[in-house]
Amino acid sequence: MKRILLVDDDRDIVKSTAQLLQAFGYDVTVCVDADRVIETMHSHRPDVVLHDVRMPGLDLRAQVRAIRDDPDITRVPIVLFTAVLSAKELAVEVGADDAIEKPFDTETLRRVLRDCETRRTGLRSREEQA
Amino acid sequence: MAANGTLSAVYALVAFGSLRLFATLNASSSPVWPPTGVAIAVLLLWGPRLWPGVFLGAFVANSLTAGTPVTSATIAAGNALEAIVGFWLVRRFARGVQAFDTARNVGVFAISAGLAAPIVSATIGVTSLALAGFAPWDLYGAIWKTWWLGDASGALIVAPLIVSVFRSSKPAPVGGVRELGALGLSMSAACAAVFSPVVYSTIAPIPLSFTIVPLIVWAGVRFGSRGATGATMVFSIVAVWGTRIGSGPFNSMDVNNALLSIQFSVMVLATTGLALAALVHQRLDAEEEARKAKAAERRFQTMVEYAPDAVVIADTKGRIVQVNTQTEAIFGYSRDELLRLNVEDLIPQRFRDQHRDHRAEFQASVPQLPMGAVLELFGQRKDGSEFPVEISLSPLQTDEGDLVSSSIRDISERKAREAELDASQHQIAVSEKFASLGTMVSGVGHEIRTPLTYIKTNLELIKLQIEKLTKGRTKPAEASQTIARLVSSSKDGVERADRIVQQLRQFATAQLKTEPSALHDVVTNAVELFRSVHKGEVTVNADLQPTTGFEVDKGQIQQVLINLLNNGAEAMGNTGTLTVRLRETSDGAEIEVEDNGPGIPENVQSRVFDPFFTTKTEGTGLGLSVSKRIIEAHGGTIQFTTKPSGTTFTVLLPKRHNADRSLSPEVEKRREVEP
Repeated sequence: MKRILLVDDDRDIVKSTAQLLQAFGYDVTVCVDADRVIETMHSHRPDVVLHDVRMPGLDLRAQVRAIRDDPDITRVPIVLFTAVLSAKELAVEVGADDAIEKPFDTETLRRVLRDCETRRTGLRSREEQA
Repeated sequence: MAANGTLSAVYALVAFGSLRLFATLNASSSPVWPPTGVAIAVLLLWGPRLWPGVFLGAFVANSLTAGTPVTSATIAAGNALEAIVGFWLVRRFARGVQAFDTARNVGVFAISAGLAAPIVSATIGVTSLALAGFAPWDLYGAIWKTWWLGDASGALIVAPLIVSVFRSSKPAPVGGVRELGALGLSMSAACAAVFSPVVYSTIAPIPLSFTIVPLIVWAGVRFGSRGATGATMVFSIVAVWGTRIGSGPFNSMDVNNALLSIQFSVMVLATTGLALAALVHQRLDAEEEARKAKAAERRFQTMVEYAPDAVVIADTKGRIVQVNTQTEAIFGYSRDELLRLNVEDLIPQRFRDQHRDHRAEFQASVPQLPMGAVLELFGQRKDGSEFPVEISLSPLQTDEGDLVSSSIRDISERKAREAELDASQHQIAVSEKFASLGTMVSGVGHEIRTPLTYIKTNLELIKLQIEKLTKGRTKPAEASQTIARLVSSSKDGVERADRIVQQLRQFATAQLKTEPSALHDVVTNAVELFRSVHKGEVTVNADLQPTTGFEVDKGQIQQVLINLLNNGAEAMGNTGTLTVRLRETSDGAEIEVEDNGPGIPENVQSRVFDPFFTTKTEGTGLGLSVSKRIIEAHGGTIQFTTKPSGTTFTVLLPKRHNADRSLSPEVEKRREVEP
């Protein structure tokens, strides 16, 4: 998995995080507008979405549901990228795959992304077997 | 008209009778002339407009007696003028109908009505008779004397009687019916003795007529002016009649001279009796006044003694002249000790000079305090301890000079209760503060973690750059440039986090110390703090016009705004747009906080400012009640309008208010001195 869609309205975070992900070899696409996330997912076909939870005009629960309801992108893992406390619980609550609390450890970020990859690969191989 | 008619009829009848019975020297001149008394009394009692009645009566009587219509008219004019002059002099110099209330006025009455006024009538009458040939010029003096004395006696005997009959007797009679009977009997005996030929021929030459003097005095002293004039009149009638038939002490004279003598005596008696009655009246009045004054004094003393407050009365030098029991109780001095002290001894040393100045100002007829206004000061007990007092001052004007009465109340207990109330209100305000602080901390946490995120990421990137450099996978110049950029970005992040912490700290601590600040800055800071906490959830449109001359308590007003913004955000489910407006009005500043939530339900609208009332599951329910109190402490008002499309809270702050007035200055001070 190489392609990541990074969704966040804070440009400083976007800039530094994108740079770090690129240093780890990811192909990073950035989206600062919550309303354009699905459109960008369609055009860039990311392997995972790192999604901020507090953005102007964002209803997170609705956003997750919209992605899940869209057959083209339904399987893309969604990782909440948030400064709120209890990010993991929030992820479960809204139906996201995982969460990374800001500020994050590089190792945690890489592990979470790896886990997503593993899950996705596993899922894909199960689908292929099926 | 009717009054004039009645007067003329009475006057004519009495005048005609007097002339017929007593005018022996000249047909038109009588030594007994009650009409003058009737005329002056009537004019005094019912006004000078009745003079035509006098004129008409006199004219009729004289026409029926002697002379021509011209002489009758002239004589009548003289009689009328006499009445008017008598009336005017008595009213001007002897207080009119009150002439018999004081001895002085009785004297003035005797001179003006008795001696002066008849000169007019006698002169005009006798001159007209002489000119018309009805009186020989060689008898002018004798006739004039008869005329004048007849009129004078009429004025002095009859006028006081009529006035006394129609006014209440002064003094009120103290003698009873029996005493009156005894007086009557005595009078009868005296009259009989004086005018009975058997008695006076036996006892002669002893002047028995003097026996009447003590009786007139008795009548005047015991039965007032009415008694004196009544007794005089009775004696006068008897004497005139007795003399007319040739009896009495003057029976050796001709009738005219005898009548003149008797009339003169009665005149003197009448005046003496009236003057005595008036003196008694004055004396009794004075006694009554003194009794009332003494009663008032006793009432005042009782009032002072049992007043609920300490009462200290001092002279212009501040020397204490009177105190009450409460003063002893409150200040701990005995009454004797207090009466040796100065008022300044009852207040702490540090206030004494100031108090002396205040006292001087109060006495210099520009009282600093209107009557009854209350001043708060400190009192000092005998043992030196101080206590807060409330003092109201009032001037006391007495015969012994100007005094100042101070009513002093020990307000220690009230002050203690106020301090407790202040402290508890402050505690509530602080609790509310921390409650709202609590709700903000999670939001602030999020805001701080955002810059921390990219600072940490930048550090990671710097580490990667160093690794690359070490492994020779990048050029030193390139790495150095990248690292510098990352460090700069991180510093920005640190500043951003620091700013948020500063804002929060300001909000948390500002409450605990009052500090005046420009209103516009305070509102702007509050909006920025709220924005940073609710970023991404609630948008705040701020239309904040600059204001000048508004100094407000920064911490308190910020608390109000954060509270209103938090409430607005919660009303909208923490999503939507809030509008904050600040503008200057003609007499103050207006701050509006508008949300587009569902509005406040009608059944709770009247309770939103009540303490502990809340519709939320979290919070103290004190936010709005504390806000209201803060705004009112600034001299302003807070109100709201609500409809299903949103609620607007409007805060009005007056242009001039006391920015020093915090919610609880007492507590603030205490906090400052606490270690």
